[in-house]
Amino acid sequence: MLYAVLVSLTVALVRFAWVFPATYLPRWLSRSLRERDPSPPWQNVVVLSWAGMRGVISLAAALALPLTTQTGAPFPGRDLILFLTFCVILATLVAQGLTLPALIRALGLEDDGSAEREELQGRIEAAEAALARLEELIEEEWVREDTVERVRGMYGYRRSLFVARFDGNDQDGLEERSAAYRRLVRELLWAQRRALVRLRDDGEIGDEALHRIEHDLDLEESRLGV
Amino acid sequence: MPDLLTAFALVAVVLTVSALASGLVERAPLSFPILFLGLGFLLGGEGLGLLTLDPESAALESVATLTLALVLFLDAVRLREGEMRGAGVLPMLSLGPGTIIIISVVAVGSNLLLGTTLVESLLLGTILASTDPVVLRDVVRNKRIPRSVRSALSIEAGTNDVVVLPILLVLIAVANAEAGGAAGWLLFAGQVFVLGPAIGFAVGVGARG
Repeated sequence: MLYAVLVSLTVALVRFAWVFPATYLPRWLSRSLRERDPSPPWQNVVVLSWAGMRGVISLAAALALPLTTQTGAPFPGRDLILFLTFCVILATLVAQGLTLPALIRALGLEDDGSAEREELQGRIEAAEAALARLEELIEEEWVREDTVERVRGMYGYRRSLFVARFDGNDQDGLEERSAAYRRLVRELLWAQRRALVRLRDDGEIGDEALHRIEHDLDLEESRLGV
Repeated sequence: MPDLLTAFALVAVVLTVSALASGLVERAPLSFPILFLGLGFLLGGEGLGLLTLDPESAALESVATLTLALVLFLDAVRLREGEMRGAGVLPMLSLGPGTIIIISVVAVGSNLLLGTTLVESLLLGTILASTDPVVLRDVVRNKRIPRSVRSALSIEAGTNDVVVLPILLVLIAVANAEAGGAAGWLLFAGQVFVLGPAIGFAVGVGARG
């Protein structure tokens, strides 16, 4: 049992011992790398080192060791390897896995918002692509002028809203306008749902028709979240 | 090993319970592997005693081999080439020196502490070298961890098997005294390093086209 603890400790410590130099040494040696990709804060590297949980691959690899060798003799050290693998998985999974959230809190790591920024950037680019395509299609005979106006207004508004969120600068009160719009549309959606349920209760439309229309209304409502 | 019907019933129960507990897993600092571990303990000899497994059983060995194949396959399928290129030097380091350091330190340690033979020590080191993409999935989704850390972890867990598995196969072959003579070894090396990757590559290209 003591050996199991020692092996688990070795596995965890060796990870620290190589992840730190692996992160800092190349940047220390190469100026171009350092400039392109600056050294991360040490907290990041600690999390990277701590998150070295072993699991199904180690377990499956250990259990997949043959039971016997070609000569029919028991496979050398299979029981010991299995036992130690079990122990290390248990130790890393439970000890490191369960303490990782606490470690992240203790190191004061915060969501840096980069995922949200990426999403907003994507939304802005998408709205711009839509507007650009709209300008190309204006000349087509099947594109109606009043539709163009309406659609251009909608995408222009979306773009401004996302740009305001991206810059964190909402001078024109776009968020407020957007919230008011969402509130209005939700009211309208509820009016439609009530009317549909009434029609169903009166026997004017069947369950299937009700569900199809409700599905559309639900989709419309879920789009409002943005 | 229980009979097949009982085994399937237990698997079904475990999957149902975990599905029902998924809300809890989302909120608590738990992950599914820990949940499965707990359920296994509960069902096993030390808990309710519903299930006893012999680590020597041939059925378990087959299940493990299949699991290993499945996990490695999924890893390869999920790997994004573009993500690897953008991730800088860390994946390269974790693939090469990182894995080798872990294998050798654990091997030396087990040789000194436990007196295992060279092959046994290296086997242990190799088995313990790969981190687990499944366990790390919750970490990789945690938004408080900087994205660079998350992508480094997922790339590492997704690729280190590439280094680990051939070493493991070679070690097993050595322990097994499977291949005899130079011709035998050449054939074995061909299987592991040429034929295996070629088949995998062909499957990938085929699935794409």
